[in-house]
Amino acid sequence: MRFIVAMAWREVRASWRRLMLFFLCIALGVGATVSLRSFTRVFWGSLARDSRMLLSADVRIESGEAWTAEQGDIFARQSAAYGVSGQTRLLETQTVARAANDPEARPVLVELKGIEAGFPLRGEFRLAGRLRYSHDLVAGGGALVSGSLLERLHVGIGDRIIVGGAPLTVRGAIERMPGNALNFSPLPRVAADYQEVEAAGLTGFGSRVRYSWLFNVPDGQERAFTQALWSEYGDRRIRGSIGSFHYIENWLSQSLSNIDGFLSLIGLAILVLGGIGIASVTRVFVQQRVRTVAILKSLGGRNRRVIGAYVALVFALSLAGSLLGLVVAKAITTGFAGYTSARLPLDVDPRLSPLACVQGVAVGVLVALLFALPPLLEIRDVKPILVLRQDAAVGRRRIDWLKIAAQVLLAAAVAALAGWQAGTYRDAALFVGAVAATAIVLNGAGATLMGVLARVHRPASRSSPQVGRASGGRRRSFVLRQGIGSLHRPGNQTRVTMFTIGLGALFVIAVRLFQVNVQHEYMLDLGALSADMFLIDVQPDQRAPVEAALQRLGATAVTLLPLSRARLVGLRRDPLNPNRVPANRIGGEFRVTHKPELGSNETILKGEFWPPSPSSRPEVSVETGLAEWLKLHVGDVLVFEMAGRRLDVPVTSIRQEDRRVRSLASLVRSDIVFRPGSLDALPHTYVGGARGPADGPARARLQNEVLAEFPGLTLVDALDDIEEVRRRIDDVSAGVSVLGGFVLACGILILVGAVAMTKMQRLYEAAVLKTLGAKRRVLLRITVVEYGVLGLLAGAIGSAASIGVTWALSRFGNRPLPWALHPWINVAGAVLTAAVVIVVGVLATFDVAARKPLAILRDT
Amino acid sequence: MIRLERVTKTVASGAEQLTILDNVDLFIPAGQFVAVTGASGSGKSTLISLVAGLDSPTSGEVYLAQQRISRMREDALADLRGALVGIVFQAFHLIPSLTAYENVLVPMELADQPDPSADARALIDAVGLGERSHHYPSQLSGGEQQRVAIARAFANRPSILLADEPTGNLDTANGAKIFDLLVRLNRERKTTLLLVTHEQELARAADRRIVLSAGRVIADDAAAPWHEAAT
Repeated sequence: MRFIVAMAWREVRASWRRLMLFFLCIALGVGATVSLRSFTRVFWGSLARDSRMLLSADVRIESGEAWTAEQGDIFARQSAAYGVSGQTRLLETQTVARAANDPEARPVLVELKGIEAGFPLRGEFRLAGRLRYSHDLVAGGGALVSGSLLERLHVGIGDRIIVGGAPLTVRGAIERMPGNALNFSPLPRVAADYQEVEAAGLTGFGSRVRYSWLFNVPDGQERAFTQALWSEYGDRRIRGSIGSFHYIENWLSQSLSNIDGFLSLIGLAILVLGGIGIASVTRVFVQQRVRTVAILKSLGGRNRRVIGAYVALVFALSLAGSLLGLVVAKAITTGFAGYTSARLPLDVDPRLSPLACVQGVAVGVLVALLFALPPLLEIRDVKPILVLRQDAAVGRRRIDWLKIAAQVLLAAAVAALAGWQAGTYRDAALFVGAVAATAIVLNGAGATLMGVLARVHRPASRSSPQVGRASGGRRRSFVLRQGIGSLHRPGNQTRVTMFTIGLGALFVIAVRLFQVNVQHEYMLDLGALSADMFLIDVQPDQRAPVEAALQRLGATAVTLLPLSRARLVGLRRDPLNPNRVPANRIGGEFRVTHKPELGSNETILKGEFWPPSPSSRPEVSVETGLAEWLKLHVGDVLVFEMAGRRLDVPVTSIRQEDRRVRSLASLVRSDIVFRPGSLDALPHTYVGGARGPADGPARARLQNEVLAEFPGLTLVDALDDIEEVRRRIDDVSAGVSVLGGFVLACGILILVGAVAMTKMQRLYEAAVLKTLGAKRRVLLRITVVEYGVLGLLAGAIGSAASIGVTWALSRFGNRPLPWALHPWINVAGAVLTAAVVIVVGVLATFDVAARKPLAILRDT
Repeated sequence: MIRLERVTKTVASGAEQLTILDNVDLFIPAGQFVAVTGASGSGKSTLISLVAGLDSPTSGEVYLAQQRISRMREDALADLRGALVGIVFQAFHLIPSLTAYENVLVPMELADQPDPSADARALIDAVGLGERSHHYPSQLSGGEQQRVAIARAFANRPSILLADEPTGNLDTANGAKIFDLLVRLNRERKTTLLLVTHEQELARAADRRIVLSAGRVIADDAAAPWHEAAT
């Protein structure tokens, strides 16, 4: 033991610079793994802790219509039965706010919240300037508003604003408002008194209002209380949504599952990349220590003790690297926590989870030992005769059962770790299977490459014995022959290097593909939005003059759609549709419109959309979300009640609408679209959109003149909100890119390690070539040829494999992830791999080429 | 102490088999200083490697302290070397990452000596490098490196010392000093010394001289009596 510990320490002392790469691989891997696990744990912990605050209550009931006396009775009865300790109501709507005394300021679309004295039941209303919240601040015409609204309206505390026609005095700026968990809307918030919002007429016809009733329920009674309410709702066919704070947890969990899946993949990739890096460094280290090992054996060192010394070295380094990884993790977690807290309605604690730290260090040490074991076992093949005969080859066993066992153990351990990291063994099996398949392909490709090159190269060598002559043509041929020759000469590292580079490329490109797919999920082409201004409540007789005014003032793409209200009173299924839904899903009021053509963001999933010509025979197209809720098929008949008339309308198509800007699109969106011609006689208003002038003053003039000319009309400028959405998407993209950057850093470390593997061999060759008259430039060009072929082939295989890996994980993984082919990423990935390999190779060769040949020849 | 019975060593050279040692019989009793000479390629170093258990014969047997080593497993051979054999190489073969002192210490640590520091210091002092014990091999001259190698070879008080051209990499003056040191320590510690050299001058100092040529023993000034005594 004394020898093992002493020898390990001496090797660390002598080779710490060379082992730095090993150290960094561990530190980076553990840092990323611990921070991801800690962050996930702390984030979910914050979510669990704050989920009541996010709902601002224990149970929340929502409705699109004003409360009825019947509902009031139900709530009172169930509240008494379950010992409800507090309840309050709130209403939310979107409307426009303007500065009362600044006609030049542009109106701003806001989320208006009407609150009662009991609000919030849970959580804390946080106001700027440490102002303490009380209902008095909103009572008597007061308002609390988001800080961003103050900036946009150029108003301050004490100033008056007009919100949807109601004059209010700003009494405080909101920093965080409970109850916004399900609403990531970019719109500024305005909180006002419930009664005053109702009295201001903001909840009348045409308004889109969400009514909520909040309850505080004794601990543990939430689900039972919710169930009791559902039961009464079902019995009485009342529509609405009822949810406890548990729903918030589930909802956010599902919403963030894509990000979570991506994080798991990152963790996996970093883990395995770090391991590959360790295997590379260990392999190089063992090669560099062959003579030392032979000396130790000639001095009486048994295999077990010599290997033991190097295992102890790996253990010490991995432990130290893992501890450094905790420091890295702390830095990452602090950054992420700040980043997330600023963007989500949660206080995310930046602390590291102790469990994640212990797990991270254990995994770091385990991964290092497992990946270092196969190269360390090669020490057994070093014969002590090497001390007498330098030309004695390192012995190889025909079938090395111990090494095979180590590799099987490694694969099993990686699968177990992958399953643990990904949280699912199905993903782990897919992941390990795909990696194993790639490894086999890479090995096969390496062997084939060497075989082919050896065959192709042989006649060339025979026919050109006078290599190295000074003529340009000959020199090119010499460089090419040397570069390619290096790939198949005895003692080359082609297969191992190709294997390492290929796997490195696979992980980096796979993570990049996932990254782009996940980002695309949260991305929207804002430039392609047809409108940045929205119009509501345009009366039929105003339609033409409004269109004309907008066009005169510089707006383009003006589109106005009729909007009517229709109550769904019945549903007749097509005979082939066996589906049924609870009765309370039918009976709600819908905003319906008609249009001759599909919008650019709509796709027909089932059935056919009608031709543009109007028809008196009604038919509807239903958005897929509503169709799923009602389990509709094409051919079902919806029975509406519209302005006292009953209308039976067949569903002729089901369509999907891209609604990634929900808060904006909802202004003019209808789930149910009629064919033109059947709604003409019904009362309706118009809603629509237009693209306003880009110039700020022209934009303000348009809004102010239109509002002055048509006082009852609501005109919403969404430009700033679109910018806010863009900012948020950029935030998500930046976060995802930072994580992807970790994998890239690990990948580059591995490339450096892989290239370093071949440095020793090249040292000797370079020295010989230099003594024969080769200049540094020739050596570098040989390197470019050698590494270009290696990098391009390994990059191409890794890149192709990444398509399969990402597709398999997206398609068959436990969590379905978005997937699309991005050929440019794969092509760029292969080319960049080759480029990085060449650059690293050339940089390493600079060092080799700069050394005096005599010293190298003497050493060897 | 050392016994070789009809030892042959062949190696593959392309498609051909090359015979390095050809049917060699040899017995070296304990305490004898034997010099093996011969031209390059005569099989001198192969003889040493077989005696040290660094390589195994193609046929025949090698005995060391009554133990047949030619069929021993590698770890058993390592144990045997650690306990019985010290080796001095032409190319020194010090471990570059260890200081001179640590190089001497390593065989003792491998043999699990309880407190090897004092012995290692004494050996370093004995070869005259007490002041340079903390230097790395790269900081020592060739002669100094070989002195460290000699100290290391004596670390575990071996009963057999094998020296393969110990002065081959040194100039004449340094070579003479190293040889004197080797012989002095050998006499003091009463080890069996098998010295391979191509310098007749050094061979003359030995108790017995063996000449190899093309893998065969062509001259042994005491071969017959020793061999008969053994059998």
